[in-house]
Amino acid sequence: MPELVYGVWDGVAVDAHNRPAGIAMDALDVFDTDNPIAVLLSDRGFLVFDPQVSLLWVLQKHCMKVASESCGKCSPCRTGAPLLCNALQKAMTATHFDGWDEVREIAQQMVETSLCGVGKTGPIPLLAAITHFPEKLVAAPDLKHGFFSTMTSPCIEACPGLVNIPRYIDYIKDGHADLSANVVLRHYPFVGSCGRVCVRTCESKCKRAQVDAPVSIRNLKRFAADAALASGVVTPFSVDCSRPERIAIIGAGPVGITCAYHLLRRGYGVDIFEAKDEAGGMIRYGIPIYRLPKDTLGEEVGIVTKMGAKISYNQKLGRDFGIDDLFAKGYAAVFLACGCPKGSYLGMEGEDTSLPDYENGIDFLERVYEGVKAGASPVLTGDVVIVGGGNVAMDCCRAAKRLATGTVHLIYRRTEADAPADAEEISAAKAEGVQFHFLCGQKALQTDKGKITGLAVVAMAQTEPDASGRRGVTPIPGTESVIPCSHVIAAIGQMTDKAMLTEKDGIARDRKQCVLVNAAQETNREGVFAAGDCTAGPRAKGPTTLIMGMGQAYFAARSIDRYLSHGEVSFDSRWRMSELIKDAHLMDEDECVSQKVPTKRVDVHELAPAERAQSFDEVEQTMTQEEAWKEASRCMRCYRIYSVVTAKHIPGGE
Amino acid sequence: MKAYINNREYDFEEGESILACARRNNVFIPSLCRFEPLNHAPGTCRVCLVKVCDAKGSRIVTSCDTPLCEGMRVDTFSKEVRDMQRMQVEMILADHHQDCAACSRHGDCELQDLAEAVGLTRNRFANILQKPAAGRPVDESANAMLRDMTKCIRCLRCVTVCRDIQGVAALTVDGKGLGSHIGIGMAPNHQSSACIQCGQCTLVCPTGALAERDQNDMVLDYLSNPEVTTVFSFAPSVRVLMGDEFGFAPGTNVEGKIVAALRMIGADVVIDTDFAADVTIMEEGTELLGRVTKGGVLPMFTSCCPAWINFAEKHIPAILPHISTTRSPQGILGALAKSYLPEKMGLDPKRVINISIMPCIAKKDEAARPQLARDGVRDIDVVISVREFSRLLRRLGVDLAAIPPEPFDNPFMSASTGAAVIFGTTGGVMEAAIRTVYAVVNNRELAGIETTPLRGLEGVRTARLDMGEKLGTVEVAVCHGLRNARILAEEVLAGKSPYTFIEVMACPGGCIDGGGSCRIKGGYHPAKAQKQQSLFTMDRQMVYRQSHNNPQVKALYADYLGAPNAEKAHHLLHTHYTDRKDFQHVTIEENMRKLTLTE
Repeated sequence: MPELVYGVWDGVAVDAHNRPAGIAMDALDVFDTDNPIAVLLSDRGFLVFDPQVSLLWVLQKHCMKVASESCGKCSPCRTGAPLLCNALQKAMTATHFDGWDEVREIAQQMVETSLCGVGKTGPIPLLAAITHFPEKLVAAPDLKHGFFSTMTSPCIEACPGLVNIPRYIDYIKDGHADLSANVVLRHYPFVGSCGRVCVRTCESKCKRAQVDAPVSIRNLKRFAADAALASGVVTPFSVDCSRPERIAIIGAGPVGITCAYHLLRRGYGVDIFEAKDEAGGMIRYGIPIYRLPKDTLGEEVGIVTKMGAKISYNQKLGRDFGIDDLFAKGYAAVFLACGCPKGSYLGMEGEDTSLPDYENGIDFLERVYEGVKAGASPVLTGDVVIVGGGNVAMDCCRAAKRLATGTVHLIYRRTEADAPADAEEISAAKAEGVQFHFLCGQKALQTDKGKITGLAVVAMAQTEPDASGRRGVTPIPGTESVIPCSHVIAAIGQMTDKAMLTEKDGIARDRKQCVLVNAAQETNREGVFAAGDCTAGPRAKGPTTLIMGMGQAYFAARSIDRYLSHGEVSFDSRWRMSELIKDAHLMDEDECVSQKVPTKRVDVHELAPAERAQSFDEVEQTMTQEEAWKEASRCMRCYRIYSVVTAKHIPGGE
Repeated sequence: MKAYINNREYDFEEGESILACARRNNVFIPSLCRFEPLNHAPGTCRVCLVKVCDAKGSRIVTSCDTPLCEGMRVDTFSKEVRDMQRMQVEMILADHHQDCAACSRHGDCELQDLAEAVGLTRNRFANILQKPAAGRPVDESANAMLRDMTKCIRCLRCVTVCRDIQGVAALTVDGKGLGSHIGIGMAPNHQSSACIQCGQCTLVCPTGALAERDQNDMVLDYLSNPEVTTVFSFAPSVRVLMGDEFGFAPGTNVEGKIVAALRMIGADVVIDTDFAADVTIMEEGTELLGRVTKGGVLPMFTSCCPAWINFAEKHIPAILPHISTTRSPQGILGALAKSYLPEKMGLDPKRVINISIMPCIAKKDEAARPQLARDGVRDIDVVISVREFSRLLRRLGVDLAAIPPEPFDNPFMSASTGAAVIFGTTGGVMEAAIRTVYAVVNNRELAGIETTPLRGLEGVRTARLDMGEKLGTVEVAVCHGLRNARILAEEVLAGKSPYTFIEVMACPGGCIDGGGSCRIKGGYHPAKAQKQQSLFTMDRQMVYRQSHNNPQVKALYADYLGAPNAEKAHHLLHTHYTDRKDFQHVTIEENMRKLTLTE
């Protein structure tokens, strides 16, 4: 455990004996390899581990970060932060500095009266130092320590892609939908797709919920995409390949395309090999058209082809080529993004996967997509039962509702609150008329002469919470019943296609056949990187969300670039900062926001349930410009700045 | 629900902000960015600080965005609160370009008022920050206005008026930190931007960051040049606006005093834009009849308002064929004062300099249109707004209140009618047109000439009018505020408009609240009803109330033009429009460089 020499945390002076409450000190030993953290500064105070570092220098660096991040709209932060920088610069060089009262006054004014988190929290370490350790604020030479600083917020840290959410919301409010889209385009090209289907972990951490309701972040992103990309204001550009290397990407799903996008931006040539005859992967085949129109997806895939990526269709890894073949063709690196294209079955009594009316969710959604595209939607005659509680189950039941002649049921063995599906998806499915049965487990598939006649189910009861606080479920004996039906869809999960990789490829996998990767998205084989559903690594294991996959793809592209430029991948300081915030519990989860006059969250227009259950037209409409301005102004910009000072230089730092 | 402000009990409604409750009860809390008439409270100035005490303890908050709660105690002027309010103003001034003496808001600045309100006696942070205005543009490219962002205090009122009232949304927030300022979208400069130069933003800007282009020195140059003949004219609404800056009650008619003042400062010829308004009706009314009877493009929109024309050209060019080709009164006056008037008065047309006084700043941009020039010579040489004209009179020591009125006396272009007078208010052009069109079609005057359903200040007003046997019932609409104009225009483009004739005035209320009218601190067109009524009263008092009865107009057609829309009239008095919609593209990579992100 690192030795805490002194500091202030949540307004309390701390040291080796009185350690700050609530944070995991163990996590604060090194920032990168062999590089101990000397000082940490945040919205809650500062901690000094190495007394050799000049506190004044550190505070000045932190204030400079505040000044450089100030948006400039509110006066205390706009002019206060540069005034503090000025004063601290003077204090560092003056033989006698007598301006501390004024520095304290400015800092106090910023903290108490600024509009957003930057000004409200930026000067807190400085104020804490003036209050508790004025004797440490003496001019001392800079000993060439490493410095790295990040401005983030609860929503950003909740986003697996670390997208700067308040910034893109602000750009909408400021009248720059084009720049708003570009903030997202720094991370991935699927702005409009993610703006429609993201699981929005950000909204669950939005502090606005304390005032009224979370900001409608996803819909704002979609607005930016529609206003800037779909409208043609922001256009792709063709890239001159400044690098001699070409990279092979396996899979033209969102992860493969996103990695290609970042590699193209860095000047690499990219060839994408796709097993199917269209690009888009799971968001093309797995997400129904009423949630994500495929012209939107097509335009976003088009960004990389316009940038110069070549996509070869019907080229399947393991069938048409192997990893060795790619290196033999001269590719400098290979990126695996082959996804989890196989649906799982239930493994229950009476199950027969050869029955045409018993299918898994992935196959069902693909069949629906192909049917709708061909203008001949499949018809489900009779009643349908979908088993599962995730978003795929919701997609299946809502798609089935549009196709079935009878009733559509969904059974899930846990409670509605435990269902991993987005609550809005559940309520949309209910509105469309899907019959939900929670705490209801499947027991057996009942058939007669090769035709499904029903699904035997049993009521479940919740067990007492286990050590982790999660409650299990157990069948209640004697509650068995049968839901008569002619179709059953198992929507409980998906798997990799085991045939894609063989021993000969030399890629290490886990027992679920997911490719093992490290934090840099490297596999065990040199030059081979992987991300998305087909991988198991520190960020996620197996099938994951669109935004997580694209976040991984960003890091993978970065690693590939570093591998090809420097022969090794190095760590990412921004990512490391997030890890540190999480591991050391630096962000106060229970933090209260100041009271604001409530404003209603903007509801986007939707097709009426009766109308939409008859068609695959897009259900949710985009916000109007006026609504987008209004919704964007609800964001409170809960920014805060974390800075670390380390013994040695930090890669990517100052 | 009850709360206490400075120990006095007040009722409030759930969700009401402290500042709103205080204002409602006449408790003063200094503030700058808040602008009540537009319900604008962005919380950027942070001056409206108060100390509150409730169940969560006591703390300093901004009163504009903090709701009251039951039993809350609010302190608005203890020493602690006053010190922090004062410091906030010092911080605002730390990056404000304080060249007060040379500022368009000299003596009329809300920031100066604020400094007084918080008791500022020293300015600790002035001149400390190096290059505080770096990255903030001073853009002088626009014909009508100046954008001096070194004086911007980021209250964002201009953005709100541009979006909510005008539906133009040309203004954006750009830059960050000390460089943050109001931008003009993706355009390279103001003149080429989506801004239509209506000037409504200049009416709400608390400082001199957004202002009219002051052209008084050009006027003085012409006045002091013996080689030229200066011809001054002023718009219908100007006579009820000029009193504002000289202590008259809102809406007072000071027409005679303006005429006298112009003569005092050396105007060679004083004529009336009212005369040209009557000619406009002759031309536009005839054009409308032509479109109705010959199957032309309908509905037809009015063309008097230059901000509306800019809006149509820059934002909805598909509507242009629907806009009357008749020049605005200023455009008509300009053409006639450089052709008909010199001929009648024996002047050298090359030496005539037309100077118009307008309630509007977009008229400056209109006067610069190539369509309003002949052989490279502009029909209107200088346009000054009511604000500039007031400033000019002050500069020359002329007090409008102190001088006796004088009548117009030009025998060719100064006669007016009631129809021309009401051009100054929303609905007036429509009403004037109805009077004349009816008379032309039916060979008799319309009986009840005051079209009540079209009067008032509702954003959109409509009427079904009985226009006599030949035309039958005609549906018309008038609107003001371009947000409303966009709605009506989009209805037309969607083929769903029931109207035959639509009047548009860009500014709310019409010219009486034009972007060149007097600024009223903290208010947004507070006296528009009085000004409108004043014009209606003048209409009732006129000898002639229909444009076609203006004797000088009759003489113009008899002696010079022939008939409305005839060849000479068409040549001199009509114009055309161009699609100026600028669709800006940017590549993903170019935009990456514009992002203000540090990592």
